[in-house]
Amino acid sequence: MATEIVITDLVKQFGETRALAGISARIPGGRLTGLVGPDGAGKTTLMRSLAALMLPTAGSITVCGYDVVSQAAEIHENTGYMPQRFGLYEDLTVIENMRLYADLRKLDAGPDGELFNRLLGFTGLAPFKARLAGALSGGMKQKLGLACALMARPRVLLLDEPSVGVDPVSRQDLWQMVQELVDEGMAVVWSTAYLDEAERCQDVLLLDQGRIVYNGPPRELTARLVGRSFLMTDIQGNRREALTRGLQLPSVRDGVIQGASVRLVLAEGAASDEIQTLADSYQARLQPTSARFEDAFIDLLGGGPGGLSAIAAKMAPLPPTDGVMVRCHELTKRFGDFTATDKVSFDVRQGEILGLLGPNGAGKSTTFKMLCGLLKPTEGLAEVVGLNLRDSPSEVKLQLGYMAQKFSLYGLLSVRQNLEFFSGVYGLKRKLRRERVQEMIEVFELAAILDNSPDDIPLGFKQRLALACALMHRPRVLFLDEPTSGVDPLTRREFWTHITGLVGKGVTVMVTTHFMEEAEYCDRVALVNRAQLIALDTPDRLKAMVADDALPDPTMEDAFIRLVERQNALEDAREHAA
Amino acid sequence: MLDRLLASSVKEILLFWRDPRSRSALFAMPIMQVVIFGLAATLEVRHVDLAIINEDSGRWSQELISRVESASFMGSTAHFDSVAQFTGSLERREVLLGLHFPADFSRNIVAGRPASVQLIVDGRRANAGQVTASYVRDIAAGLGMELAGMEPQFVNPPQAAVRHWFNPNLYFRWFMVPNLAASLSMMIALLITSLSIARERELGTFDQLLVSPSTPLEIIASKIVPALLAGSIVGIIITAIAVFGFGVPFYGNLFLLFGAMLPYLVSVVGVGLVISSMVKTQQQAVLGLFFVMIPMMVISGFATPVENMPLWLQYIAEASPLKHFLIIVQGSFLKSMPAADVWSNVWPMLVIGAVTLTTATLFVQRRLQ
Repeated sequence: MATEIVITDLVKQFGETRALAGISARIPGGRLTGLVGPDGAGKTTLMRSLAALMLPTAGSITVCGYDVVSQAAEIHENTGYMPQRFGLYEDLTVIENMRLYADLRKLDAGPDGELFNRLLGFTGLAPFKARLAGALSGGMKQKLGLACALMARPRVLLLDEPSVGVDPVSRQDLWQMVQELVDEGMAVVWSTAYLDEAERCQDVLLLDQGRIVYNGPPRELTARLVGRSFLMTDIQGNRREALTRGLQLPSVRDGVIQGASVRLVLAEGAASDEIQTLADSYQARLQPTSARFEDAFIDLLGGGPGGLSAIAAKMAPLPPTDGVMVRCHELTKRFGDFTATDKVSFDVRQGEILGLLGPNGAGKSTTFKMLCGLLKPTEGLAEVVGLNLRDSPSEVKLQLGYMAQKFSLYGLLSVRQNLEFFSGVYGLKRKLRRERVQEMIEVFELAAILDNSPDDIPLGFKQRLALACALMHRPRVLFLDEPTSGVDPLTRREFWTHITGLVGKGVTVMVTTHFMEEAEYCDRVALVNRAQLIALDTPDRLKAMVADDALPDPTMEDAFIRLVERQNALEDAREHAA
Repeated sequence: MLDRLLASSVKEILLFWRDPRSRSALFAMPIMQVVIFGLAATLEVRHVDLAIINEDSGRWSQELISRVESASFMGSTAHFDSVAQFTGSLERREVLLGLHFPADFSRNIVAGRPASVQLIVDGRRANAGQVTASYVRDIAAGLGMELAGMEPQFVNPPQAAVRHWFNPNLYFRWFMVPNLAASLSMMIALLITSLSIARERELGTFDQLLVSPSTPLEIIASKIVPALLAGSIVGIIITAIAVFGFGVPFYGNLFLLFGAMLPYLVSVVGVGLVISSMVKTQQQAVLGLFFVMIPMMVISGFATPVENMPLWLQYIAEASPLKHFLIIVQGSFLKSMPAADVWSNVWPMLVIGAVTLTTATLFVQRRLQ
């Protein structure tokens, strides 16, 4: 296959910051190239440079043989670019969006709109042709964006984090579509923060601080880690505590929770003695496991954060209660004749992490919002700390902390003013307020950025600040709505270190996520599909539910997809019968 | 609860103050508008091009012509021998109006008979023409009065002499600039409040507020603060510009005026918050703002008198805070409005404020359901 993209010594400077610091690479046609790296590594800058939307400060790029500086128009004709948020017109229907896009690019759709029909068929959007783009789910919006990007039959397709906020089922669809395009000979660049996706790419460009730190097939990078990944299973006692202790060992480079087990990665050349001792102290089994791309990624970037959460360390343990902290019973929400949540019941006990998972538009958000008091249930009961949030005085809301996907910070206020506002709005008295704000500044190392706007600080700091704001009043229950969506693995590990620490102190956590790694951290996972709760169990048991001879060791993602598809098939069959 | 309210209010003020757009709106907008409305948009007529068709050869027509020519509104004068010649000039818009003296004009005056002069006005420029015509009438009437006074044999002086009280020279600015104190402080208060909730919805911070112990009432109350401050500042700045910059006389009670400004701004803020609590995005908020603000200005007597509107519209105007406050503003500037009259315009604004703020609070509460 021909080389479609040639990057030579590319430098891109924004004022003082060097976003790309001398990058050289060749990207061939007929292959899927993954672009990965931590937040702020320069992924989007590189994508936009490839799409000839940004001029290089130095160096050169040719795409399909055209130069980005002098032949931008030719490049626009030969590439399809899908930015993180594709510019869809939310008030136009799917087909109107496509027609508009074709007109803008002066494309002939054929007498009967064959071009559109082909793309609608390809993306599976045909049944939703007349739906307003604004009413599509996140996954469907991305498919429509892809359809538009493909319209001009490009030779090069540039996808900037296409799977952020997209559920595993839609992600799998997207993935298959892109695979088909690659097979036809297209050069596809897919930038992502999900490393399981990177692992499935044929080549990977790993960016860090504006430089390429690895360029090649993911398997070769993973191969460097052989013999360093271990799984600690059958842990007697608290697996989160085991992880925290493991991460503090000098020989351990990285570690995560995986269902009931703990996954540990050794530093280069380190012996497994220390982790064996750790495993023995929990009467656990320690077994070598195959390395993953994520292990290699973290290793290459210098290892994950330590296992201790400074904020959890500052907190006094909550008095243990044997009660249920969050309860919903027959929880139902109807909008007109559309049922968004249908008789969902579950309890969350103190110190438990409950994950709420489900496809886009399945009712996960609605259920979540009813639990934290943002929506009123049509029927049924939603309680936090034994009290109905809607009828309770403001004081009850002091028991809960809330952190949303978009971090919900005030960009017009400085970091310090955000902290002060959130401490004030939770009614902390003067002295306590000053203490807590100071404590958060120290614990989350915010001192250097206190006068900056949250809009201008790196994503990792933004996440810390959002967490600090949510914890200011020491809530007993924490609601996290897609807390690490679009966040890189390093930042995500840091986040979960804090959550793990807080849970250790008796805080109860409700979390929604599309990220299956995150689901592994949960004690139990509630899977919502088509407004109903279809499964509620530990991650390991959910995986076991879908295991068969063909797939003896399914991942969380496999479990998600299979359980959802199983219910869909069952319901469709019932509808047919009726 | 007071701690929370304080924290929220401080936040709202900071949000307003740290936004360069709203800061410039606070200072640049009033100054620009005062300049535009105060200097450019005026109903006064100046630089009038006048035509004279004089068939009279006597002294009195010359006297009247020289008086008109020396008046402040005059531009150029053109002389024509016949009405026919003048007609072409009027059609080409070279002159605005013609002054036609019949041959017996002076003779009639000397003889003590009623003398008349014909005014021909370009009806296409109705407003300027009408105003100029009245200016000329005043001058002619002045002449007539003098004639009657100094030489008793001249009878038939004009019967009516108009005298405009409170604004004897009908300075348009005396009317317009004080009105701006009311309308611009309304604009800025509406702008700030109608965007405030909508912006938080867009950014997702509104949910964050709703899960906090803040009640809908506290949220609404804290959002009143910056608009109230900004509106008052604008109102005070423009009042100062009116008095010191344009020399508009202020006869009323300054404390009464500023005292009435608070209930006025509270009612305006209520309207803004109703808009903001109903919409989902800032774009919708701006649309809603224009939908409300422009009709509100038109029906409130900002430029045209409320009394000229049909009765049913006058009832609707009662619901506009601007209508009531304009009465207070005009009453405070050009005459000394008694406190009782001020109060009779304050309480309707208090009612409007109570209704709108309650509505906004209910909308925020309902959004939770």
